Amino acid sequence: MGDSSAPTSFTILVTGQIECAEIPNCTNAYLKFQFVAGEDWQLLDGLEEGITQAARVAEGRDGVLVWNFPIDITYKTTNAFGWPQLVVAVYGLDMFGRDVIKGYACMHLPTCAGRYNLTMRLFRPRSASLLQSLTSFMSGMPAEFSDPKFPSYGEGREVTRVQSGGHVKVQLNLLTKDMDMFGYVDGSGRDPSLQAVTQM
Amino acid sequence: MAELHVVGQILGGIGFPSQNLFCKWGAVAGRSWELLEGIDSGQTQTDLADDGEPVVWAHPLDLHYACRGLAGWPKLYFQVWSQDVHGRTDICGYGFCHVPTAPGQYELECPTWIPEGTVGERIAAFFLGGNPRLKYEEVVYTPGDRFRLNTVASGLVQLQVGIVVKDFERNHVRFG
Repeated sequence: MGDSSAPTSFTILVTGQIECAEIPNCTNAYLKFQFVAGEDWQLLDGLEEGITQAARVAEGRDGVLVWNFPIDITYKTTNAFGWPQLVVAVYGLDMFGRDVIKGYACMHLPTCAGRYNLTMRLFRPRSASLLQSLTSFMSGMPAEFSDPKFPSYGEGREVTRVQSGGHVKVQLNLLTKDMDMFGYVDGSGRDPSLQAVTQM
Repeated sequence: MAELHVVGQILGGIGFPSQNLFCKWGAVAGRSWELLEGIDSGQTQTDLADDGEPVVWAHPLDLHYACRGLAGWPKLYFQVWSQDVHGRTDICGYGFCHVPTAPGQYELECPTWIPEGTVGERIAAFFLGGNPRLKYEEVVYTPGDRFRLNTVASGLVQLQVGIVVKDFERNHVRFG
């Protein structure tokens, strides 16, 4: 701001929180998150990964796990390709008190400046066979993705079999700077009645 | 030269006859469009969802097109397949939708359909599996004669996409 030279990159600033989650049959869980962005993206400020506290469901409150974990991250880039994604993994306790994976989820950050309430649906890998699901239940090590960034990949997903259940709610505010100097239009500032849900 | 970014994900599907589904997807654009970066076709994970819940694919989309002419605006097409307990796959829906032509954040629901066979074929498919499939898959996204095709409606594919454009306004294109 106030520079006389042309900007060499544009910036996006994301603030918000990982609000809560609802997962069937899970009353105690924590969440690990990670931001994944393309090669042209550079982190300016904020933490790219973190772990929330371990939350427990309150008595009588509909099974909601509340984390209220702050997200604050700034990226700069020269190319909109590789837009950052938020990858989360929720771990809970099984009946023997061991940490087991409850679900993964992944979502691109919105590309349009504004305020969003987003829902990320969780999925976890299925065991390859009945025997494996029994041994993983006994040993407390259900099937997990070896690479925690795997849900953000576009390739190699066709060989995975998963089951879904539960969701995580995230609130995000997105700001962009200097996108118009690069000729980018992200759609913010347009008439809101022309946007929102489009059914085709 | 203008550029288009499609950033988002194929969220999942809802309303299909099976709850164990995967989706083969692709993006196709006209001759004056060039895919600079990104993967333009693929297959999602196979998800098993509870009854009544949407099937979750969460497959990321990140496409970067260069545009020399507006004709042939990119389209996304889908083939939803189900997998039964024996590991056989069967077609569950064909559908397509255009990438929105204005920048912004969208939640899209793309309706799908499957070809319908004769009564005899439907009875056989009920017991043995094997829904009729399209021989020429371009029929899904190209406007052409479909009058010989009988189809029945299937579920919806849900997408969340953000569109970012570059230099379209400099070329006097208005989005509305």
